[in-house]
Amino acid sequence: MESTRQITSQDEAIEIDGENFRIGTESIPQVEQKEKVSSRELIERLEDAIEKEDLVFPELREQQRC
Amino acid sequence: MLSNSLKEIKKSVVILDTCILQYLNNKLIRDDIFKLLKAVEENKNILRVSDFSTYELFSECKPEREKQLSEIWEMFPRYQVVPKVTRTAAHLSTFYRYEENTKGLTISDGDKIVGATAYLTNSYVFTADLNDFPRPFFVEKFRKTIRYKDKEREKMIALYILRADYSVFSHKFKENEN
Repeated sequence: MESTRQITSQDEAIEIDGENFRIGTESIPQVEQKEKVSSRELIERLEDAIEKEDLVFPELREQQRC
Repeated sequence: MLSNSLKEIKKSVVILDTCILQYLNNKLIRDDIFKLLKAVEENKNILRVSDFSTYELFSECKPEREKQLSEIWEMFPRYQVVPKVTRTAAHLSTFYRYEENTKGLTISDGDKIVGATAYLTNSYVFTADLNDFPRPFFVEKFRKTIRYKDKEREKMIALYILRADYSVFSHKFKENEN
């Protein structure tokens, strides 16, 4: 099997949203989002959806269970 | 060394394991999980998931639930499962199989995908199951134990924030090349 590139540095910085983040040297593309929200907003919307709209995450099937 | 403080986990990406989202279904522990998610965010960390969680959550999902879930799911920043992720996950699978401490463990492909994504992006993993991201490959950086009562029975769950041990990965990759 072809060897995957090794990452040894944990301190390589990359700028995201105007801040420096310690992120590995490999860049993994993200799925295009219809609506981009900050992590704070994501938590708030998630909390809201669960509390008010009774959002329930589906249970994993047995073989997927973590 | 385990530091039971979130202070060191800052300005990084934290990948939520699928089970964390599913534990939000549990009213008895939901508030504690949200508190921790907020604390993680306050340290200027970014929350993300692996797109493999899409497969896990939407598998056999009933249409009405799929519609409800899709709306919020669209807001989750999701790492794609690209070839370098699957290849790294395959390596991880091999490492687990031959490492004394991990051989015999049953770890799902999804957890290997999440682990590989975290390794490649130098992200943390937020999970409730330590065994899915085992030592020596992943190390605990934070642990919070939640105790709660369910129908008069005392129950406990631990939440973990883990990170890949790069020295171990490096050693294993070198071993693999020889």
